[in-house]
Amino acid sequence: MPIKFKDKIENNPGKSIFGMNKIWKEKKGLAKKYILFLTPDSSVYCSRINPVFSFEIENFIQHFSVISLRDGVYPLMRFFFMNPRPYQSEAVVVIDEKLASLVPLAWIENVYVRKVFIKEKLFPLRSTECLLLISPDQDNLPLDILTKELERKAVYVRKAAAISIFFSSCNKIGEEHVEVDTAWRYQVLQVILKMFPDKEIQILDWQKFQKKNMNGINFFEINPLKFYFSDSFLMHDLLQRGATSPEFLADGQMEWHQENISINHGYYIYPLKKEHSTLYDEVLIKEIFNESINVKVKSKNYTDLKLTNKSFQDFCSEIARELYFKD
Amino acid sequence: MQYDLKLRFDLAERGGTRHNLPMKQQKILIITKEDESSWKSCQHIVRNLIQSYQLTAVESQIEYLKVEADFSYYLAVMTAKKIKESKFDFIIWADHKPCSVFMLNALNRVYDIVAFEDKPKLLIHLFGDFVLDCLTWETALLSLNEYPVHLLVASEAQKKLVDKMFKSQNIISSVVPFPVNENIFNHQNHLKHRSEIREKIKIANDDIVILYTGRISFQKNVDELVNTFLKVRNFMDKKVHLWIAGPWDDILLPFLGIIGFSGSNFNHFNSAIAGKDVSSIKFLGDLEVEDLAKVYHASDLFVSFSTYNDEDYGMSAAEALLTGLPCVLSNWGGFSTFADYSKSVDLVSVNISEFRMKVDSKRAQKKLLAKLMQVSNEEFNKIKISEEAQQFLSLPAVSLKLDKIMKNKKAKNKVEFTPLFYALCSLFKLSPNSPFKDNPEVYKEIYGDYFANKI
Repeated sequence: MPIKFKDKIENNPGKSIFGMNKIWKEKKGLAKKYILFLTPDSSVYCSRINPVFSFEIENFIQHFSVISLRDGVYPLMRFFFMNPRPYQSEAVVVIDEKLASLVPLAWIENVYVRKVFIKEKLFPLRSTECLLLISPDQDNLPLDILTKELERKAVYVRKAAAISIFFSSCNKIGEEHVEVDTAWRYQVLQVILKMFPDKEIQILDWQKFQKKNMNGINFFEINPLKFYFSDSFLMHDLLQRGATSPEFLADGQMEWHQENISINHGYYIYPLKKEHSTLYDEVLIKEIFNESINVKVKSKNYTDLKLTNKSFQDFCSEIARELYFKD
Repeated sequence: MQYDLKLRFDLAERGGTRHNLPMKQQKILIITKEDESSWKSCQHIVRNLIQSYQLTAVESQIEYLKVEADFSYYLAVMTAKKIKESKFDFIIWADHKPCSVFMLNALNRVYDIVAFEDKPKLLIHLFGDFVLDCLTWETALLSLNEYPVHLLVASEAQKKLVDKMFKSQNIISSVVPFPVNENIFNHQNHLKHRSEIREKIKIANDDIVILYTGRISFQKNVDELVNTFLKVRNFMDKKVHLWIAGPWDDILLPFLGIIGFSGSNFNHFNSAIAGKDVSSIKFLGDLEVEDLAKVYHASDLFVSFSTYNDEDYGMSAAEALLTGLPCVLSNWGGFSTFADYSKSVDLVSVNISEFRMKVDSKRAQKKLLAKLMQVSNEEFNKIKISEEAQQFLSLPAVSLKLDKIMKNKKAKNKVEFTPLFYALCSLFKLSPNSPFKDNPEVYKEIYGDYFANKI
């Protein structure tokens, strides 16, 4: 099976999203807004597995033989709801391994899962600093989950002499959101300060983040629910710049296909198991949502960030928590 | 922040000689950027320049000023007023960012009623990004005529590029190579480090290692280097390896309008080497300076085919020479000047195309193979190469050059910008992000002296 994926990728060198400007540029208003909302986690990175969000390009799967969906639980469930069956039998979709149980049965043959690996360095650097990437949003990072997640990582974080924090995406743009977002960030920060009271904490802005020497820094991506995204640009950026994380596997450990993303890291890619079980029951969902999950968005309302109606979003939120606790 | 004065070079202790008398006690201000440059070579350059000035001015009082990256004209005027109160003899601008022009214009304003001879001389070290700052330089015409300023460039090619932007009565620029710290990059301990590193990387002591260090950027043509290496390695009796050390970036050809995504360069590189046996190529990562020096010691030959548009010097080639490595370099920008500093440097001509500058691949293979044969026959003496390079590129060698320049008398200049400079400014005004996109002819005219050098 891994060979099949390798062939698929290597026999389609020209069929890449990045070579099809027309499709790439035809983003609709909703996609534009969502990409902005998730920036910089949603920033583009280049790979022959064609990493995109499902909401970026309508009906794109028919154009490509391999697509890596950067979706978290919410957009991915929307994608499978809107595309209950693959358009063409040859096309495959790669998703985050933690989201495997969201794949409906009709898609199983066409879905591969990915898991990050990092390559061993000949001259490893060990920084005493720890970087936390946080995407603060009530749906993406509820405070109870944040606390639990920090407890899981505390052993590593406490070893660091200093902690840097970068609040990444989930920036709602528009005056009605400013207060909410700021307040949520303060609450997130309070949880961190409470957990690590004796640590020197530095908040990085985007400029500092870009200029900082990341070589040897240990980082943790605090995205436990993977609600909006599962494949952040920042993770790739940090790994490419020499940062590391104890959460990733080393390369050469698995016999799966290894797709290099940078000289320092890549993805293991492997097919779903045949005994795959799904949390996603197409019939049940259709019953609940009655064929439609869309919501009419007023195009002029720039802050209206809804991929689906509220019911479907709440349903996805429940599923995301269920997945987290199952793990 | 003050620099550690312990870094001052004590010539007497090191048994060095100084042929000219030390400068009389002067008051010198060295200005750099508050945060270090994110470009590693620039970090080293700035530190080393400061140390060379410390050697030059052992009898003088040096003060240091760090300015923010967003240094404005207003802040420059405020700073210039303080400089005037402190009565400095020299002001040295030793960093590539922010652009020095605000300071030049501010000094000219603050010292407007002071006699020309009494104004402190401003020495500006220009880096490869001079061309990119042309619009700021356009505001400096009055100051260039009224204020005692001298531009310092790192190579002959860069001097030609800079000089053709000015029509000047006096010499407006001088070549001062960016110094290399010979206390770190030298031939000492190379045998010990050679064994240590080769053992770590698991290769035999008599295998031949070609080394590239520096950013792995599209215009550095590392893919060309790999392909040339793959073509010539099998002609050798000994096993040949290629080591590549440095950080990756995705700067493609922005000024020609070719912008990359994150990962574009890595993807391009992977496509270029797809299906080839790259088992003898090792990527060592972005190394700390101590490891970097060891890796130079463990290698036999330094190669770079860079045609980077800002390649005004070539810090990695300079470091390689000081550690005693022979070099094969593209005949591009600052690289060509290294042939003046060492007989062990071979240059490969560059082919100019509309899209991308590359070394002539046939010549590159030929020169690389010839050099590998020489390495294999042990024709190079590392100690000799290192000592030869130290005469031009070490901290003391550069300090002597600076000393001479600082002793030059101030002379009022009559300066104009050339039509080429104004043409350059127009392109940046029309298209600031990709000025040369539809104007490759201007690109060739600007950077023409980067490749029209000797072979």
